[in-house]
Amino acid sequence: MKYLYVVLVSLWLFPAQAKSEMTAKQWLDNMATAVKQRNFVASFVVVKDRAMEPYRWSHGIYEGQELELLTLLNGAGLEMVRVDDRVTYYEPQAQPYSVKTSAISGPIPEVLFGDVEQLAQNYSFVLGNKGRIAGRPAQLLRIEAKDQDKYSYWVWLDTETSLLLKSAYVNNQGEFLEQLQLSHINVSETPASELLEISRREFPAPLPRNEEPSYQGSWQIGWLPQGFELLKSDRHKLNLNNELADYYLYSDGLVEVSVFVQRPLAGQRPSGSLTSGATTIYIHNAGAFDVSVIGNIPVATAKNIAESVQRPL
Amino acid sequence: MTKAKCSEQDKALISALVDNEASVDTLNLADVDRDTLARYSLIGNVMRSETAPSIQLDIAAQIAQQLEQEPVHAQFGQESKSSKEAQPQQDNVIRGTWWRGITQTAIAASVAVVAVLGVQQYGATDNGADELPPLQSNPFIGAASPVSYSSQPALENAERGLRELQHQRIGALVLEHQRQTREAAHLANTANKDEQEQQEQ
Repeated sequence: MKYLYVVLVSLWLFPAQAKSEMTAKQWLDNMATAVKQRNFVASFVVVKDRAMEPYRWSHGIYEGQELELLTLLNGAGLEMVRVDDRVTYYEPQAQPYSVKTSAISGPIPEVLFGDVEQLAQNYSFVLGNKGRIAGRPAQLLRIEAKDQDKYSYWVWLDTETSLLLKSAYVNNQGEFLEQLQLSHINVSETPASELLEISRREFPAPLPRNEEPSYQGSWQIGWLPQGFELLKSDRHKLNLNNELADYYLYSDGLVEVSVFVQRPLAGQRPSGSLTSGATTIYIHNAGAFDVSVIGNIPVATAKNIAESVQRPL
Repeated sequence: MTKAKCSEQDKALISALVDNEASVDTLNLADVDRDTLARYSLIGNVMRSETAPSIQLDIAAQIAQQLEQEPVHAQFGQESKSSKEAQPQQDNVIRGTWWRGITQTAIAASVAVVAVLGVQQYGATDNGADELPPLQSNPFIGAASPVSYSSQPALENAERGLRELQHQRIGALVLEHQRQTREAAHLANTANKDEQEQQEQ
């Protein structure tokens, strides 16, 4: 009889607890699933310091295909289209191109649409307060960097649908550097009509995957923040100005960092940084060569990486 | 509506529209002379310092050519070479099929992200702002009247040219970072899969 009580009480308690005691990790997993299964149309803005970028974001399932459309609404336009695991980017300054991947590389870190577990080594998941965002009840989840060399990323999710309502890059003083905020979201039974148009569109074939071992640049990059690993390195000309650069791309799962080593520009140019929202560009004049570091990392981190680059011995 | 028929009144309306002083309703967009609209919005962009590296390529080449004749700044010979190489690239940009017909104005606006980056706190580091070259917010004015360069002291010209080149390089780096992170998505995926496979074995 005692056992029965325990079982009954626990049965009664469990469903109630399930929702209230969901861990931050579970919330994030739920979001990754929800974002891939729901039909929705949303508008959001990304606020970076004094600049602001408005986007329209729609997603739906149509005839067994997953369709996603993300459009930058200001300027000449930037359109990112995903059909299942192919993402195509349309930009004014380049030919459209496709990449074989399951998430759009836009203002929201792709890892949030995948498995956040891979961040566990460098970030901790913390359950935050409840609040109200974009007119919906929201739960805050904090992806907190474990050291001072990275930014943290905070996410507010709709408590009913688990969809993203707001997110922000936060520095270790707790200041918001770059915020993404939904202004409107409409979850519906059927996919939006603009998505149906996509399913009939023709796309460029995905870029060929470079299987041959990439050029191993011989520069020595002496320091990187904990958890950053090399994704690729090569020597190529930049699209815009045709300048040659030795290139290294690192990632810690949440953010990517590019390191460029280039022939120096003439003249006495001091090193310095530029920031826009969470993005830092640090340009280090090492005398015989220039090192530029770009990524969503603190200025001090970018500076340390840039200054650690040395000529091969 | 042809250009010839575009009256002063129309121009005033277009100007007001571009400056956001008139709403779209007051003006039938179909009647707007496209060239005039494109030109006015470009002027608007320049005045609001939203010009882009794609436009500055021209300036860089001009400066570089002038600098070639300056013995003191002999290193610029190389710069002019790279700038000249950059010219066909610009043609490419405009030739892009999907966006055929979009004027340079559109390109200027699209790379505004980069321009915005360009005018923000250069020098948030402990180096202090004064140590860093202040980024020019109105470089396009120089291009509009290139004659003015020849009347300025050569050193000033050189500094200006340098700033342009640096500005241009920063724009190129930002776009390259963006493109590489997009293309790298599959790299990250494969890396993870490789790891998983290794763990399974």
